[in-house]
Amino acid sequence: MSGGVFSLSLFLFLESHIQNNSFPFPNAMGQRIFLPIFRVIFLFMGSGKNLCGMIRLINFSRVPSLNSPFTRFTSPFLYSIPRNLPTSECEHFMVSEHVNGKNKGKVKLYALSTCQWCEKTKALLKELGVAFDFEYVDLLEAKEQDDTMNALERLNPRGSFPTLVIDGGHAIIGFREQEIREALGQ
Amino acid sequence: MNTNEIDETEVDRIYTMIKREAEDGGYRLSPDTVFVRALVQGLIRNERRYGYRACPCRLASGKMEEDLDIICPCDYRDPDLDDFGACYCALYVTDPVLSGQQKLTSIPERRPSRAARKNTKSVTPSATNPLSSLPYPVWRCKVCGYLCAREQPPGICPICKVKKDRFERFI
Repeated sequence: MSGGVFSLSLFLFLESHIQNNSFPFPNAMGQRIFLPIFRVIFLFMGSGKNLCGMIRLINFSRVPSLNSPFTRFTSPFLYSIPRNLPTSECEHFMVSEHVNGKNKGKVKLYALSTCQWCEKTKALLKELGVAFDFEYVDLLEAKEQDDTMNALERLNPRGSFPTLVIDGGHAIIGFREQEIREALGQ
Repeated sequence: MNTNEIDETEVDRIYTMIKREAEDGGYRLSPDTVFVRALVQGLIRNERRYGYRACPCRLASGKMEEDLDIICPCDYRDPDLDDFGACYCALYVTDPVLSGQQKLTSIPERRPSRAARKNTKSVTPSATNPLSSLPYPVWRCKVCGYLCAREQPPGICPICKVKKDRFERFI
């Protein structure tokens, strides 16, 4: 109970600083102090917007996951955001995210945050109500981006976007609406 | 507070500029203005992020010399317009697409893969070519194919408005 009250007051404290766009701790120190506290805070509350505000101030290179109470603890680094990403991009984009829906196998979308055909593909998957993961490869940090591209190029040698991978093997390259509907529709 | 925010007036400004430059050179932008504005936003975002207007539908490296071919308008626009009626992003389209006679399809990536790009070296015309005795070198715009015979390529291509660094020595 007292832990809850502590988290709540800390959250409100952080929140007030976020509103003022100021933070009382230097980045490195803030990161070390707040990583464990983050996990507590998100047990009770957590919204993407506030999350982004905190990340911006504390300058985390990776953002704790918000998917489910379970993954908050098992994989707190599911989201990642490049350190030097401008504020507006941090607020607009989650680098990678899981979208809940019908299970049609492991569906993964490799996308770019600036690419409109990727957005169309994402919208189609949401329309179909399929569970999928997506990743904005352009927003990944260099090392992670390189690893992701190597994985992508095994399925799509040109390394183009969007690439939709179903069950780790079947790749649909580009916004091919009919093909996607056939593979993932009813 | 959000100095990085892209406001609508900037999108308007760049959109108008791109549209005018396209039409001056005989090119057409997609009639889907919502879609085009979103692409323009991607271009502005890339310009801020990398320092140049990399194609919003391709992954830029952050090194300009490696990405010259995908600075918008890209080297692949014209062949894609010829074969598919639109550029890779569908920012630029042909008249049949504009008038609705031709439908857009997903366009396969024409840019070589990362591995292939590493291995290709720019081809320079050989000295044994009989044309190399011409009084001036001939420069070719890699984007639109414009040719000119002068000591140096022009600062900006008069047809497609790309910069000097997009020219190659043709003869």
